[in-house]
Amino acid sequence: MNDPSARKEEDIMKASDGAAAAAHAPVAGKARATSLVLSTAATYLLPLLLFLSVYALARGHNLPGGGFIGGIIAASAFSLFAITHDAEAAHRALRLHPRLYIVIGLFLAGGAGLAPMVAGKPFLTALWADAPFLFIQEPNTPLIFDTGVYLVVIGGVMTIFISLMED
Amino acid sequence: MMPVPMIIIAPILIPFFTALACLAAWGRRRVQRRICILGAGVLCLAGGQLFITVWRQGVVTLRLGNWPAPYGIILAADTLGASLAAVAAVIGLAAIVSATYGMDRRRETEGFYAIAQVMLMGACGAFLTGDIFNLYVWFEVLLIASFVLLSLGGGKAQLEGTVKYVALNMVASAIFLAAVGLFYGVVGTLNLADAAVKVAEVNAPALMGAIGLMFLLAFGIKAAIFPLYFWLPAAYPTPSFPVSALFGGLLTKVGLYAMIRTHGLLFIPHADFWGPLLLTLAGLTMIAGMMGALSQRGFGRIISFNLVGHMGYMLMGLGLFSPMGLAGAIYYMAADMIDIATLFLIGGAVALATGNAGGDTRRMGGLWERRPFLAALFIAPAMSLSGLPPMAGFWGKLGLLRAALADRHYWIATAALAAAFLTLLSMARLWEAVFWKPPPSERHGGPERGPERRPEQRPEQRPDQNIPFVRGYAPILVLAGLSLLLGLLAEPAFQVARSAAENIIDPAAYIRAALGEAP
Amino acid sequence: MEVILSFLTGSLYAAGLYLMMRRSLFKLILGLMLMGHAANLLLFTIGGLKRGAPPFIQEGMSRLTGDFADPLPQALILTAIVIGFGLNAFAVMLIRRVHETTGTDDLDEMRHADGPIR
Repeated sequence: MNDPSARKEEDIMKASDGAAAAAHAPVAGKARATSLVLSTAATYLLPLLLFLSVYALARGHNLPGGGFIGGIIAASAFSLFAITHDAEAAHRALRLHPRLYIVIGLFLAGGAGLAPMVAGKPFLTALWADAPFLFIQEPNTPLIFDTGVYLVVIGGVMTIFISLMED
Repeated sequence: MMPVPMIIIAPILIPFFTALACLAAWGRRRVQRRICILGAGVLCLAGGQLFITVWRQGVVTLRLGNWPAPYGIILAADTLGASLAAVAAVIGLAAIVSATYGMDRRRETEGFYAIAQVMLMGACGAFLTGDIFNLYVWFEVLLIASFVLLSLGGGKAQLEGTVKYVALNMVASAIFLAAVGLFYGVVGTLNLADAAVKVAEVNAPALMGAIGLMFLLAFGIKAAIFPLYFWLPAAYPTPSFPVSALFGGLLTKVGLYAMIRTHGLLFIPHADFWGPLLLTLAGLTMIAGMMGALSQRGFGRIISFNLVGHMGYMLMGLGLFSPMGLAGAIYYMAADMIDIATLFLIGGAVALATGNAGGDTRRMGGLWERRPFLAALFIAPAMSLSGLPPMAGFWGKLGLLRAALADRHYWIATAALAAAFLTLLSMARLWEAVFWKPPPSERHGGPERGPERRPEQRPEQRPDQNIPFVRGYAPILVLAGLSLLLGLLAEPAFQVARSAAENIIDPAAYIRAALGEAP
Repeated sequence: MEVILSFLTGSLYAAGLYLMMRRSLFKLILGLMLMGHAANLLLFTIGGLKRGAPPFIQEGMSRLTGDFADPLPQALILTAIVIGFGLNAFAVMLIRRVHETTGTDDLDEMRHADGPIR
């Protein structure tokens, strides 16, 4: 787990790495039930699963996948991380409070619904742009909506999961 | 193409974004209060505007996502949906304003404001949708919001009440979902207007009967009608009173609204079976509810049982299914939403004034002298509920009775009269116990007057707390005034109800508006 | 296939109801979950099971013709799953809190809400 190549990973990795080290230190009065293999694997699985979740989210409009599935994958990654480490580490890996994920997600989804109303179309009408943006061929409002759902699912699951773990 | 009717989606979007803002301002009580009250106020205006639009122009529809009519989800506001959404908004505002003083700090900051807005969104969505599966979704939104509100900062009794509520309502949802599935399998559409057209071509009386019964069971649990009401008095009085007011005003009525909406689809072809069944259930609901109310001593419990009993009146109007009966039911529904919410809010104020958070009426008394204004305010909803003129409840009951007599349903008319009398008795006893009899400190009551169990005293609620005048009385005053206004303006209000009822009985205009072209 | 799924739906309902009749709070929630799954499966079955007939509008046509797999029940099920997911998550949290507060898993001992006051 002290493999230097791990340091080169993205930001989430760093936070989780440190958390993993902290979790392995003996905790007074509280024996950890999870195995070393699992907790180490979870540290590496987290970014991998997050990448998979974004992939599922991005292909979701015309292929199996989508915001909910992607969100569930991401949330299960964070949950696995939370089980193998602790709630505190999961909080750190999430960066923002889960509630903020819900707020941002709902705002994106609601905004994607509102956008067509500005253009004089009914709520939730899908708008598609022709010009490619970054790696997205046709930026569209359903993708924004899905991203919102993705964030809401992560926030919702993690809120419940962490509060179940904490007390 | 028609211009986009923004107004129909406003009652859903306003609470959505208000809830979002409240969620963003987590932990900051003052900010949340202001946002939430502002949002509810705007929602009231939007509800009023929607009602006026619908009243002037007829059914307003919106195709979500711009999908063509029977395939996509549509929102369709007719007179019934729009007026109920407006009433729901006013009740929401009143409950939210009361929550700023009637709720302890922990519950307030634990998300009451955001969830209350979600609940308003669910109610408005259910009232405005024109799609049966979408109705299911709004029911679930309401359900999740009510779960959270019920269990918010819960004590023992509250959590146990929540378990009962959760279990029964999840069963109801599962039945509802299965019924929607079967309905789609048989009729082939989920759009209410499209279904109204297609249901006539379906020739499967046994299957449709089974589906109808499943809908009746699902909505019956939500609306707390006769054999299915036991969860309500256990769950409704347990949270703090503003929450109870929201529940009493909105939740059961949404269940009954769904019954009215689907009635034409499911029940009309077999009116000789459904009419007597609904009327019997209505009579039993009235009597069972009022008997329950008379056997109780807790303020919240009494109101809850009254709520159950009065669901019977609305069910009676539905069972009659004549324009007059249905108009009476719709008018009564609006009146009852307001009255029950008012009574729960008064219950909150009484609990504060007596320091008796449990609401045990045996330990109350003498409030007539100490809080004359509150006592005067209590009279309005109590009179309305008992059916005394000139309040709204009187006209609603009168309309229902006349409709019942016109169709020669003497039994149900007798039951309705008896229930009204029992309500009067129950209200008079409540008045005597809370306001009229001497306060407990001046009574030399023997041990038989003492309660068996001391109610939980929350540390936040000291005895004889002052009620802030504006925040405390204004919501009650507004609601009581609304009830009085509805009674004084009974003629035009009944006209509205009548037109709503005629739209339900003959949904041609609804179908035309929802499907876009002549079917 | 329909026959198998029908029996499966029935078994799920039966199992769900059986679990709900038990006094344990935990089994109650499990029963509710099974009932939700049964409803979803019912929706799926009733939408008609067809293979190899995607609902695509053929070249030169303006609407769907002939036999096609109805996509709507699947959309409904997806929605119902999402909603059920949220409900179940909340229910699990609730029973945990109830268990912490009351110290019992037995529904028969939860009578405070039906007590004489309130």
